[in-house]
Amino acid sequence: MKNSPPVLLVGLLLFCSTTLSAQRISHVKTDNLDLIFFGKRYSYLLPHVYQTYHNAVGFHQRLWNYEDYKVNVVLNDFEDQGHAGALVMPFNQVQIGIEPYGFAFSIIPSNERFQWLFNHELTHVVMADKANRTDRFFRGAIQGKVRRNEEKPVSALWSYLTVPRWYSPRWFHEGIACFMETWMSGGLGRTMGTYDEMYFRSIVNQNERIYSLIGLETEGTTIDFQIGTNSYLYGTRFVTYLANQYGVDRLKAFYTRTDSSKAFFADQFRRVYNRSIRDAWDEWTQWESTFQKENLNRISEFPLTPFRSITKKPLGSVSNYGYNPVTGKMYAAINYPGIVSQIAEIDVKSGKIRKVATLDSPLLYISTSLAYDPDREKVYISEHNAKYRNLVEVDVRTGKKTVVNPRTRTGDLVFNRADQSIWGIKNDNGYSILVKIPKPYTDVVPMYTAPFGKAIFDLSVSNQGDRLCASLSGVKGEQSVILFNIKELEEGFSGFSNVLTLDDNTLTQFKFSEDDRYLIGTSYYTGVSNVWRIRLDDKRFELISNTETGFFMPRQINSDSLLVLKFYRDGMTPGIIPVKVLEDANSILYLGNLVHQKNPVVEEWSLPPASKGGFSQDSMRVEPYKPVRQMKLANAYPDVGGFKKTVAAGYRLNWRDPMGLSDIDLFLAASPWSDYPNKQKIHAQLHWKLWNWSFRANYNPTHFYDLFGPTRRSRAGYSLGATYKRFYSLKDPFKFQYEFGAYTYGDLEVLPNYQNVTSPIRNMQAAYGSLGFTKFRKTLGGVDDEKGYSWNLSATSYLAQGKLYPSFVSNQEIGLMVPFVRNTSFWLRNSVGQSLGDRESSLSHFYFGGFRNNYLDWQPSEQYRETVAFPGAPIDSIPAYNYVKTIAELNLRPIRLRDVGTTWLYPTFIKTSLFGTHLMTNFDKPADLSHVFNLGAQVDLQLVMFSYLKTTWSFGYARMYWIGHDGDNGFMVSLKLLGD
Amino acid sequence: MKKSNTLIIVAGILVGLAVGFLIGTLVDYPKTDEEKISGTIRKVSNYRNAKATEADIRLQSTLVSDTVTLRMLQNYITFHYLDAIKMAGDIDMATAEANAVEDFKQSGKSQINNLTSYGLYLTSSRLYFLTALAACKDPQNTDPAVVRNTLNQVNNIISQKNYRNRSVLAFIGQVEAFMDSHPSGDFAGLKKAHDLLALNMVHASLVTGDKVMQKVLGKQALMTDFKKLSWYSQEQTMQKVRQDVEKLGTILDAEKLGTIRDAEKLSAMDAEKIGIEIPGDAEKIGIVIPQDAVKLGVLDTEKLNGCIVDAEKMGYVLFDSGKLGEIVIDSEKMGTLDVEKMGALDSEQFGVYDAEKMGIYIDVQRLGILLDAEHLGPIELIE
Repeated sequence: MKNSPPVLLVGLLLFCSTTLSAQRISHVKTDNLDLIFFGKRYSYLLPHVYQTYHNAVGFHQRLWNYEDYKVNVVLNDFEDQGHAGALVMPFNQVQIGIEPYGFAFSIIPSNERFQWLFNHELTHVVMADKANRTDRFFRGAIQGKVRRNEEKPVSALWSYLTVPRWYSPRWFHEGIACFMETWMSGGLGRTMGTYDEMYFRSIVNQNERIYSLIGLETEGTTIDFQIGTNSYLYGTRFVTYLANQYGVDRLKAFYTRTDSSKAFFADQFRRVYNRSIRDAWDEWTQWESTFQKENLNRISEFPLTPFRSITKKPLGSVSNYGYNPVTGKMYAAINYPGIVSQIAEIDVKSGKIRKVATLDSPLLYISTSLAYDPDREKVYISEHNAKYRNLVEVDVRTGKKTVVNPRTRTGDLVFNRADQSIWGIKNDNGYSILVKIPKPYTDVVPMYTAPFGKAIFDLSVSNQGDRLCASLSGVKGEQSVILFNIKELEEGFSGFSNVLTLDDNTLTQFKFSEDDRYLIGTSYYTGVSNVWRIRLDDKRFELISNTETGFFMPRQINSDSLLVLKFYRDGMTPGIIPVKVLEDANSILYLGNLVHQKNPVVEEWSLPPASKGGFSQDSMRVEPYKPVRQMKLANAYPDVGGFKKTVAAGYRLNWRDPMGLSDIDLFLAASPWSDYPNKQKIHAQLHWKLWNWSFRANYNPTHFYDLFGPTRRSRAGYSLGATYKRFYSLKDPFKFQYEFGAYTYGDLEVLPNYQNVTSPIRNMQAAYGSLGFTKFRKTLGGVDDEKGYSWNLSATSYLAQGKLYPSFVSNQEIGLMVPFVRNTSFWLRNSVGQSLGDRESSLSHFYFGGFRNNYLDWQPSEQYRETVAFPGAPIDSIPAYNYVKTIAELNLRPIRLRDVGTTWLYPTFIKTSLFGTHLMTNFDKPADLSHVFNLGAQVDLQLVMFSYLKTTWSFGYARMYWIGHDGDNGFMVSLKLLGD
Repeated sequence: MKKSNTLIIVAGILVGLAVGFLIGTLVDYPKTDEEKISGTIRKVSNYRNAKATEADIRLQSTLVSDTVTLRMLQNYITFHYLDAIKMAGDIDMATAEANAVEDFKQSGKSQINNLTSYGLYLTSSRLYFLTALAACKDPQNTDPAVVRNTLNQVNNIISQKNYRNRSVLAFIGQVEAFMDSHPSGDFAGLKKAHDLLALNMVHASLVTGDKVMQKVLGKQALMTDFKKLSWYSQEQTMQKVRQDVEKLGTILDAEKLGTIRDAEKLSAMDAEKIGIEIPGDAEKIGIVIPQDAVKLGVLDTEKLNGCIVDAEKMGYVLFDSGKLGEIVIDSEKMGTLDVEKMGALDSEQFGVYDAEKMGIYIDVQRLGILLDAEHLGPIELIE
C-alpha cells in the first residue's frame, strides 16, 4: 500500500501519454496496406496515396513474382522538403515526407511525386523482403524478421538469415531502385538523370578516376562532397550499364531472390554474370570513359563558351548567391571537404574567399537558401534545413548572425530591394506556397498556393521590384517559367502568367537581366545544362552557352558578362562567361536512352495512371492508431548473454507495433552450469519502450558483452524502474534533451554503476534526472565531431536504509578545429562531481578507472571520454567524494584507405587520438586531496564486413601518475561490433 | 471618380479571378515554339512516357462526411467575407477623410497609402471567399482538389488580412498622434474613421478569439459617441454582397462547379463561352449568404456594445479590456469557430504537427531505415 501513490502516478502518466498519442495518429488498414498518418491535416491525401501505392505494388508483384507482403506506409510532414525511406525489418515500412521536393540542379525529376516515391521505395522493399526457401525457413523458425541491434549482436546473425539481401551495399539498393523508378515513371528518374550524365562526363573531362567498387565505399561516400549520394550516382550508373550491356532479364536475375539465388550480392553477381563484380565494375568504368568522350566530342563540335574561373578550385556545394556590383563581391553558402559549411564572400576579381559566418545544417548540393541585400550588406539564409527552416540575417561586415524568424518553413529565398521584403517558397502540408516575408521578417505571409501536385521554385525578383519569376513543375514532369506581378499579388489577384513551358525538359534558375528585358536561366535542352535566356517581349528562347559539363545559376553582372557556376567533379566553381547568343549546339546521348532502345520492354513498365486502379471510399475506414493495440510478435530467437563470469542461454522475444512506438523486448534465460547460487541461475529481462517512456524489470540481468569483459554490466539481484526521455532536435545541430527515472534494486552484490564496488546494502532505490544540450559539427571527410560544445547536468540520489545519498555531476566540453590541418581537432572535456551523502558510504562516491571498453563492445570506441573512465588506472580504482576531471584531447586527421580489401571485407579509415587527463579528487578536504594524471593514445581502425557490418578495432595505451601513489599503466584492445 | 474606381475594381476582379483562381489549375500553357529557337540547336532525345495527369490525382475532403465542420467552415468564411466588405468600405471612407485633411495627408502619407492598398486588397480578394463558399456548398459533388485549392487561397487571404490589419492599427495610431498634436481641431471625419476602424478591429478580434489583438485593443479609446456611429449597416452590406455575387456569377456557376470533377474544366468556365446564365442572386449560384448577418451572429453590435465603457469622467469611451477577453460572440451560432476542428483550413493556426513530440519516432537512425532523403537532395550533410 505504501507504494500505491507512485504506482498510481506512473499509471496516470502512462495513461495520459498513450491516450494523447493515440489521438494524434490515425491509420487506414486494407488488405496489404496499413496507411498511418498524423492528425487530420494530411487526410486529404489518402485516396491518392492509396492508389499510387497499389499502382506501384501491383506492378512489383507481377514483375518480381512478389506475393507475400504487407507494407506499413507512414506519412509525415516533419521536414520542409520531400523525402522517403524504406525498412523491411521487423515489418515492411515506407515513410513518405509529403512535402514537394527540392529541385536543385534538376537532380530530382519534377513529376508527380507520390507515384515516383512508391516506385522507388517499394523496389527497396521487394529487393530486401522477397524471400527464397531458406529465408522463409528462418522467418518461420523465428516467427518473423529481425532487425540488427548492436547491443544484442546475436540479432545480426538472425537478421542476415532472415533478410540477407538487406546486407548489401547502398549502391546495390539504390541502383535498382533508381532504375525501376525511372521506367515505372515513364522515363523520369535517375537512370535518365541529367545530373548523373553531367557527373560522369565531368570526371572524364577532367581525366579523373571513377571510384572503384571498394573506393566508392571507402572514399566516395565519405569524403567526396556528395558523400552518400554517390551510392545513387554510381549504383544507378552501374545498374544501367548492366542493363545496356547484358539486358534487363539478366539484371532481374541478378536482383531477384529465388531458391537458386545466392544470399550475398557479390556471389549472386558471379552466378548471373559469370564474373566477379569487381571485374564488371572495372569494365564499366572503361566503357563509361569511352561513352563520355564521345559525348564530349559531340559537344565540342561547336565552339565552347570561354569560362574564366574566379576561384582556384571548386567549392563543393554552392547556394544561390548574391552579388554586389559596387564592391564586386559575391556571397554564397559553400561546403566542401575540409571546411565547416559557411557563408563566404568571394572577390570576383581576385577569387579571394573570406568566411563571413558558419552555416549550420547545410543541405547537399545547394548548402542552403540565400538572399542578399546589397544596400545594407545583409545576407539572409535558412538554417535547420533538414527540419523546419528558420530565417537568419547575417551581417556581411561583422559576420554576426541573428535569427529573425525561428520558424518559416521557407526556402528559395530572394530579396526585393524595392521594399526590402524577402520572398520564398514555403512547403506546408504537401503544398508549395509562395510567401512574402516583409521587413522586419517576423511574419510569413502566403501569397499564392500552387495546386496540389505542382511546385514552385527558383525565384527571382526583377530589378524594379515589380515582378517575380519562378519555375513551376507539373505532374507529367513539364516545367514552366512563370511571372507574378507583385503589385497585383499585393492587391489581391493571386495569379501568374506563363512565359514558357518545356514538356520534356527543364527550365530552372531564371533571373532577370540587368534591364529586366530578359530572363536568364538554365535548361538541359541539349542534354547539357547550358545558359539560356527568354526575351520577355516575344518569348524568344536563346542559347547563351555551350559547355562540356554544365553551367548553373547565371546572373548578369554587366552588359556583356554573366556570373555562372560551372560543375566539376568536386562541385561548383564560380566564373564568368560572355553574353553571346549562340546559333549552334549539339545534343548528347544519355545512357538511359540506350537502355530504352535496346530493351523496349521497359516501355511496358511505365505505370498507368493510378486513378485507373479504382478506389472505394468504403475501403478507407480511418481509425485511431493506438500503438499498444497494434502490437504483435515480431520475432523470437535464441540468444545468449554474459552473467558475471558465466554464460546464460535463452530465448529473446520481441513484440512491437508497426511504427515502433511500443516495443517490448523480453529475454528469458538460464545458466544451470554456473557455480552461482541457484537463484542466480535464472535470468529475465523485460524492457518496454512506449513513446518516450521506458520500463524495465530485471532479474539477474545478463549482458552479451560481459562475455568479453573486463567491463561488466550484468548484475545479480533484481531491479524495477521507469524512465522518461525527451529529445529535441528541430534546431539541429543544436540538440536538447532531458531525462528522469526511478528504480528499485534488490539482492544487490555490487553497486549498479560500479562493478568492482561491493554494495554496502542489498536493497535500495535510485532516482535520477538529467538535462543537457549539444552542438557538434564535423566537416566532410571527418569521422568524428570536430568542433562544438556540450553541457549536461545530472543529479542522482540513492535511498538506502532510510538514508539519502544525493550526487550531482556536470559535464561540459568544447572542441575546436586545428587551423591548417584538415579534419584535426582539439577538445577540452571537463567534468565536476559532488556527492552530498554520508562520506563513509560507498554509495556517496564516484569510482574512476579504466578505458571502459570491453574486448568486444557495441558502444562508441572512445569510451575513455566517459565520466568515470580513467585509462591507465584499473576499473573503479580511484574513489572520489567529489572531483574535477579535465581531459585534453587531440584527434589527428584520419587516414583514409583507398581501394584496399574485398567486397566482403575492407578497411575505411584509421584514426588516432592523443589525450591527457587531470583528475583532482576530494578537493574539499586538503588531507584527502589527490591529483591523478594520465597520458595516453588510442588508435581506431574501421573495417566493414559484408557491406553493412561496420566494425571498429581499437587499441589503446595510457600511463597513470598518481601523486603519492605508484603509477600504473593500462592497455586496451577492443572490437566494436556493428557500428554505423 | 467613384464610378471609375468601381469600374477599375470590377475589371480587376474579373481579371484577377480569371488569372488567379483559374490559371492556377490550367494545364494548357503555351508551349515552346521550336521555331523560336534559332540555328541548329539540337534537342536531347530522351524517352518520356509519363502517363498520369493532374486529373489522375484523387484527393478527398473530410467536409463530405463532417457536416458540422462544414457548417463551421462556411460560417468562418462568411465572417471573413463580411468583415472584408465592412473593412473595405470603412477604409474607403477613412482614406477619403484622411486625404481631406491636408496636414494629416502629409504627416500620415505612408499610413494612408498602406491603408488604401489594404482596402484595394480586400475589395479584390473577397470574391475568393464567395468562390470558396460555392465550392463548399456541395462538397459531395465537387472535386476535392477544387475545394482544397479554393480553401488554400482563402487561407492565404485570411493570413494576409491578419497581417495587413496592422496597417489599420498604424492608421489609427497616426490619427491619435495627429489629434494629440492638433488639440484645437475638430476633424470629425477623421475621428469617425478612427472609431469605425477601431470597432472593426475589436469586433474581428472578438469573433476570432485573437487574444493578442484584444490585448492591444484593450487600451484603445474611441473618439466619438459610439451610439451615433452607425457602425454596421445591414442594408449596405447586403448591397455589396449582391454586387459581389453578380460579379462572381459572370465567371463561376456554382451548379457547374458542383459537378465538376476535373479541375481542367474549370478553365473553361467562361460565362460567355459556355453560355451560363448570369445569376442575379446568391442562391442561384449556391452561395450561403446570410440574409441577416446579425442573426447569424457574425456581426453583433450588441455584443460589441457590451465591451465598451463610457468613461464620461475621462472624456472618452474605451474598450473594456477585461470584457474583451471574456466575450465570445455567439459561439453557438458561429459553430464555435473551432478552427482546429475544421481541419481543412489555416495551417498556421493549426501549427505544424508537433514533430518534436514525435521525436522518438522520427529518429530514423534508430530505425536504421534506408532513408532516401539523399536521393531527393535535401539531405543534411554531416554536422
